[in-house]
Parts: sequence; C-alpha cells; structure tokens
Amino acid sequence: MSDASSLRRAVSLPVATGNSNSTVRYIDGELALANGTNWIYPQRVETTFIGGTTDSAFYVANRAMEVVAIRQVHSTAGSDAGAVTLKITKDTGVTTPGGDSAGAATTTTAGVAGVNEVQSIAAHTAATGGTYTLTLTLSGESAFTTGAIAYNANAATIQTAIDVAATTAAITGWTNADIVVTGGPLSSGALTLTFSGNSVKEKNHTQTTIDGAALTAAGTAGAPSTTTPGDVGVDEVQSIAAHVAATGGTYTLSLNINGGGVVTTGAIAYNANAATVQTAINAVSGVTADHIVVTGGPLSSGALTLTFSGDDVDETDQAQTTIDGALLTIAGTAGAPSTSTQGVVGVNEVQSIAPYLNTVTGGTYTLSLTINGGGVVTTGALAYNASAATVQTAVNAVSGVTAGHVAITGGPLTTTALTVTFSGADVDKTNQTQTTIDGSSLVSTGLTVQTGTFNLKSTANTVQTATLTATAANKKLAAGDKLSANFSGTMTAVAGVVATVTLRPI
Amino acid sequence: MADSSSIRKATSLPVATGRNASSIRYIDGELAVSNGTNWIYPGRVEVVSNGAVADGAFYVANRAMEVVAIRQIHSVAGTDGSAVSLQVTKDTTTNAPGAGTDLLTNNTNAGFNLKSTANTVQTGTLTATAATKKLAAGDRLSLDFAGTLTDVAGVVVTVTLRPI
Repeated sequence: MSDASSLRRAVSLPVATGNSNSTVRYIDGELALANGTNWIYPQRVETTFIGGTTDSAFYVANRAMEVVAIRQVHSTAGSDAGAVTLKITKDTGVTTPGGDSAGAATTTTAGVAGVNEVQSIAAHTAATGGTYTLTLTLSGESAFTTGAIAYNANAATIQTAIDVAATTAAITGWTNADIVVTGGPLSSGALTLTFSGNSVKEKNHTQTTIDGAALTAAGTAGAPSTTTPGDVGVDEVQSIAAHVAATGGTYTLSLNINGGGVVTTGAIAYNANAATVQTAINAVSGVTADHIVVTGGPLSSGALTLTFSGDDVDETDQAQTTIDGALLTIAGTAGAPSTSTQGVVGVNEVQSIAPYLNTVTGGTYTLSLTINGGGVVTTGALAYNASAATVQTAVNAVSGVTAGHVAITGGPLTTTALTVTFSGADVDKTNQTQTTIDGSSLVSTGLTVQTGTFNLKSTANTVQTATLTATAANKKLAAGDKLSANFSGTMTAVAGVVATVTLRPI
Repeated sequence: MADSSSIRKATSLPVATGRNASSIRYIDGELAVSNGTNWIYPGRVEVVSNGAVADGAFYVANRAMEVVAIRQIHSVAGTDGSAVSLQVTKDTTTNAPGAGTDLLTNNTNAGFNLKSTANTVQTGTLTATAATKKLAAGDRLSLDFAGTLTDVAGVVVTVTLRPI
C-alpha cells in the first residue's frame, strides 16, 4: 500500500486505551504503532536459548532492557522420576550463570577508641592556710566528697584522700589510685586528676568541684598607710586599705601609741563596722576612749581611717598601725576546676555480611579482613552454607590475633547475615577496615524473572508460557546483566529445549 | 547537523513508491524510516540458529510475527550421494520440530541445498501463502534436515521477522 501522507493514520486502528486516533502512540510508556490490526512495539527484540540442558547464559544486555514475555518448548520430555525444570534467570555481576550473589558487606558499628578523662583544678597561689575538699561524681555513680585536704597537701596526699572517700562511697569496682593525682600542691600549682583505672577509664565523668571556703589567705589584708603624719598643729591620720576579697575570718590591728609600746586588738570580724573596730581599739589603746577615732570600713568593703585626734595623742607623729589578716578567709576563690580531656567510652567495631542476594545452591566464598590496619588477610574457601563456627575457625587461622577476638556470629549466609565483632583486647575499640566478601565462586539460581518454572517433563512439543515475576526490578536488565537458563533435576531424555525471551528497551 | 524539528526529512530519500517526501512512512502497512539511503523497518527482529545439524526448534514466538526473510550458510557442504537439504518450518500446536509447515520453496520446496558450495549464502524463497508466514504467539520456527548429513557442518540460519 503506497502512502501519500507523511505518516498517515492507519486504515483502521486496533482497540486500545486512550482516545488517540494517531497511528503512533505510547502504551504503558512504550512506543506502539498501529498496523491496522494490532499495536506493534517496534523496539522489542527477541533472544532465544537453544538446545542443551546445562546452565548457561544466552543473552548479555548491551543496553537497559526489560523482559516482557518468555515461552519455552522441548522436543523430548524428561523421564526422571523427580522434578525436572527450567527457569530463566537474570544474573548480575560476574561469573557463570547464577554467579555472584554475595550480599553487601557493611559496618554496623564503627569502632571508637576509648579516651581517659583528665580534669584539672587550677592553682590557688593566694592560699596560705586552711583546707579544701574535692567532690567527685563518677560516671554512673553518686557524688562523694573527700575529707578536708590541707591547702598545701601534695599529690600523694590528695590521691589518698580520694581513695579513702571513694572506698567509703563504695564506688563500683574501685581500686586505689584508679584516679591518679599529679601536680599541686594547690597553693603552688594546678592539680591534675587522670581517670585511668579500670573502674573509671574511658568514661565521661562529671566535672570535679572544689570547696575552698576553709582556705585562708594571709597577707592579703588591705595595706596600711599614713595619710597625714602628725605634727605640731596637725593630727595623725592613718588608713587600712579595703580587702574586698575577704569573705570571712578575722583580723587584728597593732598600734604603737605615743611610742609607748605595741598593743594589739582582739580579733575583729572581717566585716566589722567602724564602731566595732573603735571598741576594739579602745579596749587596748591605754588612752581615752575614742581619742583614736575610727571611720570608714568595714574592711571587706572600704578602707578604715584612724584619726589620732584626742588631746593625749594629737599633734604627734605616731608609729604606723599594722594589720594581721592571716585569719581572713577568701572562700570561693579556690582554683577553677576544668576538664582538659573529655572521657570517651570505647566502642567495638561490628561489621556485617548480608545474606546472599539470590538463592545460592553451592560453591564457596572467602572473607578478606584488614585487622588493626595491617595487611589484608583472606580466609580459605568457605562452603556457601558454612556455619558461624566454621567461619570462625577460618578467620582464626589467618587473623594473626588471639583466636576468637574477631568473633563470628550469625550465618549461614543462605539465610542470615554474618556478624563480625572485633571484641578481643587486641582488636577492640578500634576503627577497623571493612571486611569484604568474594562470592565469585558461589553458585546460585540468579534473580527470578519468572514465577515458577518450566516443567521439562510436560508434553513434548507443547509450548509453555512463563508467568513473569511481579517484582519489576527483576525483569529489568542493566547493560551487562545476563539472561541464563537454569536447569534443575536430572535431565535424562530431555532434548530440544528452546526458550525465547522478548525484551523491550527501557 | 543541528535540527530543531521533531522529525525532519532525510537529506535524500531512497526510491520508493508514492510521492511522499517524509522520512517516515508506512510501506505495505509497516513503518519505514529513511536513513537517506534505505528504508529501515524499525520493528523487525532477527533470530538465528547457529551450528545445529539436527531437527530442532530455534525460536518460540511471544507475539504475532511474520517471516520476511531467511538466509542460510554452511561452512562444510554435505557429501552424501543423494540430496541433502534444510527446510525451515513453522511448527504449531504440538508439532514436533520440523513437522510443521514449510516456509521455503527453494529447490522444489526442499529448502536450502546443503551440498551447495560452502561459505556461500543462500537466500530463501518464501512461500507465497501469506498465512503460512505468520506466526501466532506460541508458534515455533524449526530446522528440518533431509537426507544424510555426512560432513555437513557450520550451518547458520537467520530469519527476519516483523511484528504484526
């Protein structure tokens, strides 16, 4: 039929979905052409397995294709008593029909090295007396506090204090010196606490705190000075500078009035007001009360002023009054605690080898391990259905570490993933290289393209039509994928087997 | 060559019936595409029997097809004194391989002469019966040897089909 149109409508169109009157349309995403009777799919191709009764590939995809139909016929039926079947499979990867079916090797949990916590208590060089305590809160334990530690205790003494307190607190698994103290004494250098013993190592602990309320800081009282020296016609005025850091304790003042000898007041509270200081001076001065006038203060917030104004002390150059602040306390100024190295809990590496992708019926595989960054070691051939114990033996034989330290569980790979756990002391808490599997020698039935099988004992010369799998992915071939004939059973008498597969490009 | 059209006319068109200047047309109900030299039939497929020297199927149709061409070659010719030939058959229902309908009319319907010169292609003459050339899904193509196959080797048959 000659045709004067560029592409004219078919004389008649086959029934099809849609309302297109065009001769060309897409049906289910596939180009279809009407020839007046049927829709033709011009891109489809045919490939045929011919003859033979052994597993073999008969098609290698050069482009992405999808199986759309399979039919089979044989000229002589099988006579074996058992089932005799043929199934068309899609093989991916390498090797012979039903080839590489090894599952993915993955790391379930990456190994992490443990890190010991290191904490520090900064130096408190101003401390000249008193005591302090340390409060520790270990991972998973309740807080406990040491007894009083002298301001100048050395590292060994501090460590003993911690040991005693930890023992009293019944810390789980505690052994003396699990926390190692170095540095100090606190009055001259920072303290370092290293959590390295078995009960505390590789854990994240709460910051240790220090209570320095009972520390004292002598010599830090406000400096005394003479504001106005006494002279004829001029009264002496002296000053004691404020000591705002003082938060407790007492001080004393020593006066030498009119050169008559030093007299010292009783203890004066760090925050005593001027009237109280006045009373303390009056009590020891030996001169008329209030002739030495106290103003200002309290010392913890402002300077004290002593004015020698009474007629028995005035217009005279007086000796400098002094202050003894040794018993003043400076709580809250103890060295700041800090954590220089955060403790990290170590994690053992766990790897997994997934079960086979296909139904594997024979052959072997090997595992290749790189332990602790050493060279790659490869097991001997392992049967496709080897148990965990068998795999363990094979790994032990090549691992180079203590047997069982690279522990194998799970399997066999026909149904269950293998788990590789790096748990021994010589491999634990380390990020290990991924173990790999070489399954190129496995024998499998490939991915199912058809449901069921062709019965090779069915009547000869009678075509069988496959029901394709409902799994769309199994019907799709990437470039390099193969179609294979997979026979099962005893092939006695089977002959003239032909199977044709129709594919469409996708 | 830049081309902004969906389908443009080939630079030149092969000779064909009709007065159609398009690069695409139907010829005898079959889509044909011009490549500037020939009309190409994009729906056609090839099936091959490679090496077999015994009766047997080599294709099972999954869809309606029509045989449009058959060619054959052998690498070693037969030496038997009598005729040695190869017919290609369409087998249907429960036909045994080669027991169906002959597709070739060469050599008084005997098919390809397997005693002809080796390595020389023979072109099949198809039956004039249109229905015979049409395969329904499930029909097969088979080789049907005749005579004594002494020395015959390297038999290759290619059949071109078009979906119908």
